[in-house]
Amino acid sequence: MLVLTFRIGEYVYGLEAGTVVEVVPPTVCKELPRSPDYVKGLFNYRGKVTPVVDLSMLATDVPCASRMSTRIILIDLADLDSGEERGEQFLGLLAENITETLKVADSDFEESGLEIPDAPWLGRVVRGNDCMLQLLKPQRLLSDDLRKVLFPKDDSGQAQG
Amino acid sequence: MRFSLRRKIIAIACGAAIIPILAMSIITDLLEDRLQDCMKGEVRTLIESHVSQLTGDLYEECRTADQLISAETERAAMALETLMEGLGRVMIMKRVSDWPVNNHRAQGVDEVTVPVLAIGKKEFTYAKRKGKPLPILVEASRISGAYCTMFQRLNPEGDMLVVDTTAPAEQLNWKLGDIFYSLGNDGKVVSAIDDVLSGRISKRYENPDYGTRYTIYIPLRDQDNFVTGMMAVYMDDEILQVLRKSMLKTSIGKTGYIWVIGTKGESKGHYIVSNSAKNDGLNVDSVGGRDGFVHELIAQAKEAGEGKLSSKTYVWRTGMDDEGRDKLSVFTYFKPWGWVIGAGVYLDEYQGITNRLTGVLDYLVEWLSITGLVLLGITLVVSFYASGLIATPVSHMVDLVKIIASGDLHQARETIAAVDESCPNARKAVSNADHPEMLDETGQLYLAVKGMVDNLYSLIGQVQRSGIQVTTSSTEIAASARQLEVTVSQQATATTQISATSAEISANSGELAGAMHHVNDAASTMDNLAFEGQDGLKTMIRIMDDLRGATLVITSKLDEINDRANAIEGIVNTITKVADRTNLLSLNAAIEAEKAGKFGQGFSVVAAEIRRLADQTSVAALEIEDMIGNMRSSVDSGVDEMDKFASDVRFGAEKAGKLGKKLEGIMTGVRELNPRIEQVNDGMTAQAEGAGQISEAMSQLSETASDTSDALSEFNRATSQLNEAVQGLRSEVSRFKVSE
Repeated sequence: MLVLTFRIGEYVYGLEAGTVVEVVPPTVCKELPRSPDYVKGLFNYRGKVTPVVDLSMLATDVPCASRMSTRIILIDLADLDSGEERGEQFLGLLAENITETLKVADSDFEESGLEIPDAPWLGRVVRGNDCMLQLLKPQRLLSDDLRKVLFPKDDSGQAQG
Repeated sequence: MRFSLRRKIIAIACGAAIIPILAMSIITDLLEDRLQDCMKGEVRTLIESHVSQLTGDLYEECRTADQLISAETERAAMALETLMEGLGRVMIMKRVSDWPVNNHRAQGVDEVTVPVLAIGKKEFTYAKRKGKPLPILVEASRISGAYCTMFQRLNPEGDMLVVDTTAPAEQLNWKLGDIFYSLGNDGKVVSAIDDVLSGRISKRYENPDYGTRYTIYIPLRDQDNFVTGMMAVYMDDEILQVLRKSMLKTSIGKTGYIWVIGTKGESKGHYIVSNSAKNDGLNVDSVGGRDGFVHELIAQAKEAGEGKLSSKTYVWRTGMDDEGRDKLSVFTYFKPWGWVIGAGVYLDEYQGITNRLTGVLDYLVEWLSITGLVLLGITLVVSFYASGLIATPVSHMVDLVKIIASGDLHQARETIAAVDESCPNARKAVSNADHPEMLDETGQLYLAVKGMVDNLYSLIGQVQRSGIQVTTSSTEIAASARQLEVTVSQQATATTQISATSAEISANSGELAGAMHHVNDAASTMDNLAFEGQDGLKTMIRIMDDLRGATLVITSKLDEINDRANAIEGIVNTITKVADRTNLLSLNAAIEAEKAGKFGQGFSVVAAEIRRLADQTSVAALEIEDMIGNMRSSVDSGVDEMDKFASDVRFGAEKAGKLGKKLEGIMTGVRELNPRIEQVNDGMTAQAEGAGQISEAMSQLSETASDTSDALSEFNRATSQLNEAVQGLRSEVSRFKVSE
């Protein structure tokens, strides 16, 4: 399977390419006052207001550096849950050094063996030649509360469904 | 006798009290006489005006009476005339009648025979008319109050015989048988008969006794128009009698009365009215005992004229033995009756008024004298006390001043203390010393003398002390003068030393002049060297200017290189951006290929190839960027170096310029040094001369010092004289005793 790699701090992480909608250059975000620090704000993605989460901030409390390779990965939260239509709940993830994709066999992944309560979004690990790549679980990125705040409309839709 | 201050004060006070009283008495005396004169004059004027008023009234009264009488008479005459005409015509009958005559001028004749006169049927014969006047005439007389008398003409001359009358048979009235002669006793024609004979009515005053009877004569004409008789009409003298009685009763003052004197006929110079009826008809001169007085009176009245008042003051005697009294009469002339009407008063009756006034003035003088005496007494007592108040302090003051004059100030102070205790005025003065406005002059004088003694005491003490001080000071001055003398001699010695020193200076100056000549030579050598150095420097400055120009060119070239590098950097930027976009594109392509599964495998290879190209491009762009960066830093350092070099060159040029100027300055300085050195030489010579002059001045100074020495000995003499003078002053001051 194809993995889109990026860096948080000095370490390489990855997302399954199947979950990625598109990679776009960073644009100006409208900040959300009194939101958690890792929520960078809202931006206009193809006519749709989309929240952006700074992964570096989420993981290490250090904001992403402003570089050419720092980009926004758009994922569709709706896409992660079965039975939902695509293109409904976009979420932007800001991360550094998004320039590469990697082809990794699914069998090469191993469970990390750790379950960190504050970081439930850490997923399986694969060992490379000189480094270790850890997958992220995008559906666990946002806490339930935050998710309700950022996507209230869908919640109501779910309640009806 | 000494006329002391106290006596003087008493004398002045008494004088001040007596003099006004005396003056008042004298003035009162003078006033009394004047007042009396004045009063007499006033009283006299008053009396005169009063009497004049009375006389004027009398005159008016008489005139009124006269007018009344004449009017009445005329009215009666007219009535009678009318009555006669009513009786019928006047006729002379053929028959005659005999008339007894009362006043025939021919001696022994007492009867005349005349033709009978008739009016109408009434005949006038003695037999018919005797004792029985014609009834109609009587009636007429009674109505009019006038008497009527009928006359018959006796002869051509005009003698008239009374043939009828209604008047009572009195002495003054016509009676039957009386003849009215046409020629009077004095031989003159009687004007009344003359008028009647010529046919006119005659109106005139008859004067049987008072000259006041107003009578109208009317001619009677017969059938031939011949005046054959006349009718006389006159009033009863009742009015006149009333007037006379009223005059008699009028009295003026106590004994003054009204008098009337006749001026015509028998009554001339006789009383008509006077103070009593018994004097009527008497000659005035015989009554007053003065001859010719009445003529004066009448003449004065006539001269003044009808109705004009005249006054006369005279002594009037009531008898020959009488002393007579002063009398004032005011009188006037009443022409119709020929009366002089007057009113007279005796002046002594008014003496009482002036006597009373004199009495009041005497009373005033008496009171003035008493007041004067009382005032004198009071003044004596008061002045005695007041003079004591003034004189006692003054005598104290005199004693005190005598003591001060003798110079014994100590005793004077003791006396003042004694006076302070003994004299109450002095005590008061001392206690009120702070309020001088409450003190009298003696108190102030006492305070002043006291102050003077105190001041004098302290002054003399001060002078005595000062004398001692002055003596000490003069001794000190003498000592100072001696010291000064020593100083002056020292100065003389110093002067000699200075002379020697100045000679030495003169010699040194000559040596210095020689040294200066050597200096002059060295300076000209230096001038030459400096000129050569300046030439070299000028060449160097020119080369430096060239260098600077070249530097500027290099700098501009470097700037150009910098600009080029900037352009290249822009291009590299663009390339980097393109590579980035390509990378992104390849990423998205790979993702999309992955999502496409097997169908996207080929595309994913392409995407990977594109990404590899993009990476290479990025690397190449990075290298170019590095190269450009290196080049730019080299250029920048080159520019900096050039700038530094240029500023060094500029600095060098400035330094060379400054050096040139300095060399020039040195040359100028060296050139200017020459004349200076000559000036120094001149100065040295002048100094040498100056030193000689100083020597001379010093010798003069020596002489002056000896003069000063002489002056100092003079000063010493003066000081000893001052000392003597001070001793004299001290002995003089010691006359004043300031202590026991």
